[in-house]
Amino acid sequence: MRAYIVRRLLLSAVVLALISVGVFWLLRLGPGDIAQVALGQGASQEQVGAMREHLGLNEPIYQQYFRWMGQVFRADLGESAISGTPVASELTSRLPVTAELLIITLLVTVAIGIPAGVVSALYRNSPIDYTVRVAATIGLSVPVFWVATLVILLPNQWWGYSPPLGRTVGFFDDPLGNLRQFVPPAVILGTAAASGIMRLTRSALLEVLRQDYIRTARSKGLRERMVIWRHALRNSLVPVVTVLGLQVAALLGGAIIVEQIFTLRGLGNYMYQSIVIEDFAVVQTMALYVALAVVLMNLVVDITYAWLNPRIRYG
Amino acid sequence: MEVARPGPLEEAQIAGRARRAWGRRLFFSILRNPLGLAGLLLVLTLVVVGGLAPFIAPFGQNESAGIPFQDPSWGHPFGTDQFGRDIMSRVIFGARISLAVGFLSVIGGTLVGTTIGMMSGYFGGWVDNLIQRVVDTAMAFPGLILLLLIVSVLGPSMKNVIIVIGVGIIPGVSRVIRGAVLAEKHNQYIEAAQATGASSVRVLFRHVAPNVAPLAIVIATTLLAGAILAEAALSFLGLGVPPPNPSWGADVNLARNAFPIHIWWAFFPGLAIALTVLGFNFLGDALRDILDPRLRGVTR
Repeated sequence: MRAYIVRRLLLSAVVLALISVGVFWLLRLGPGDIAQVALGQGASQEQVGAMREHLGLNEPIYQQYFRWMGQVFRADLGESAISGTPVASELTSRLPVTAELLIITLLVTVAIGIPAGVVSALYRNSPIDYTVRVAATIGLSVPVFWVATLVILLPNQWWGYSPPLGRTVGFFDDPLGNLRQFVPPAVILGTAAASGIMRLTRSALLEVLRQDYIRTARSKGLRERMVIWRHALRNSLVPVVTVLGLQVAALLGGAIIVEQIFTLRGLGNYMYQSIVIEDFAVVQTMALYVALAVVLMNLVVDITYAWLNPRIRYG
Repeated sequence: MEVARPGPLEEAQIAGRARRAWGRRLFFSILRNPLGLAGLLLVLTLVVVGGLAPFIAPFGQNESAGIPFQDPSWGHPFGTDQFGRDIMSRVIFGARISLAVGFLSVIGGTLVGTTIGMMSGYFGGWVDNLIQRVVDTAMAFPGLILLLLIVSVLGPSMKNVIIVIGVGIIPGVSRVIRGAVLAEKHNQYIEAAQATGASSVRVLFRHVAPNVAPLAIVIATTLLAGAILAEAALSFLGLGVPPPNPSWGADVNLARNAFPIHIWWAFFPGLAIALTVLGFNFLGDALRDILDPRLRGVTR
């Protein structure tokens, strides 16, 4: 077990190193000059030169890379090359926004996806099953940004209603205003994610219901409800919970879209703005931390699995 | 006693016949699956509409066709947009962008991903290790963020969107194909080919490739929906196919920011995306269930 964990840790380190090199190199392939962007079009040649010097852009690229890595290892998040704002202060104000959005999203995902999947599996090939499955495919197909756009535009046109836009309403300052702001985007993201979870729950439960121990449970005369709740559901939820964990990363992509539409000032919005204005210093740091989060999550999942199932360790 | 053996020519004919029979069985299986049939019809409609766009569309994609912000009418069934363009005509021409980006990126990405996956699985050792670590790296990124990063560097254009989405699907494809090759490579026919002195390249493309091809086709079909959705999302965020191209995603974005609010402008292009992706999802699911039920859940 220890050898397995050490191997996985080393591999994760390799992956993160590759990501840091990849992101750093990728962002410097583009034609734009960050010093020019930071100063605007009116800047003189000397000003741009001084800015390049200030940002360290005249050093060889590997020196720039190692300087950045030095920052990363000192847990220094750096600052925006364009506005000069420290990334750390942006993160402290934006992290709660995205966290609240994703928490409500996950609640919606679980509340819709798992019951729908269970019903679908228990009434396999019945009209209910087909309805749920078609609904799930529709949920996977309808673009989130379209639904979000209509959810903003339609109430506005019909009743002149719009959720609080532009500034973030704190939950403890104004719970109702806060929920008016966060619930619509979270429900939209959550229903889309629920489609995938529903499919997974359905197939996991069907797989478990085929097992011998379910037949044993039934043949010893347990009530069907007991068989489902105590034996089938618990076991089938293991892969579902895993995927839910991994889905947080995928939801960050969705957060970029809905935060943009609902003008929530969260991490997705920060990432998007930084990408659009080519603020490399911010983008590379954010990208590395996102990757770090995903790699750690994968690591935890893999190690838990190996701990639960010895066959993986020696595979 | 002489036993009549099939010569190479007849062998090829038999193989060809078997392949055609396989294709026909597949086709009829789809027809028997109601959702698969619905998907096939949606996709076919889309292909016809996109292919014949200049003949079907009442107006040009950027032609000023009337007063701006008209509601649907007989003259303009979907209404007109901020610039007085006919929304229906733009939706019709937009089918070409979705299809071109979807098919080109998926075909390119699947070909590259399959080749990489075959090499990874067949050679094993350090080649496999190196490739798999790079694949891990790419997969450690949330999909949309990776696409945004690359496209922000390359710049938004139709060509770059195709490249970016194609690159984005390589890791997933190569991982599944690698698994299939690992299962395949200890078969006797591979050993036989190696024993006759065939080169690795020949064994890979002559013997391994035909056996993983059906799997690659299934994966590609299930990836089409996602690729089309990705193009729409990128274009919506202003980092995809740029205006004035009639990209559905880009048009929803324009409509979102327009004043006064003109619901129809946001509604119809988005509906087109939803129906297209739905069609490909139905078709992909049906194909996967028919050809390879094991794949359920592997490709999204």
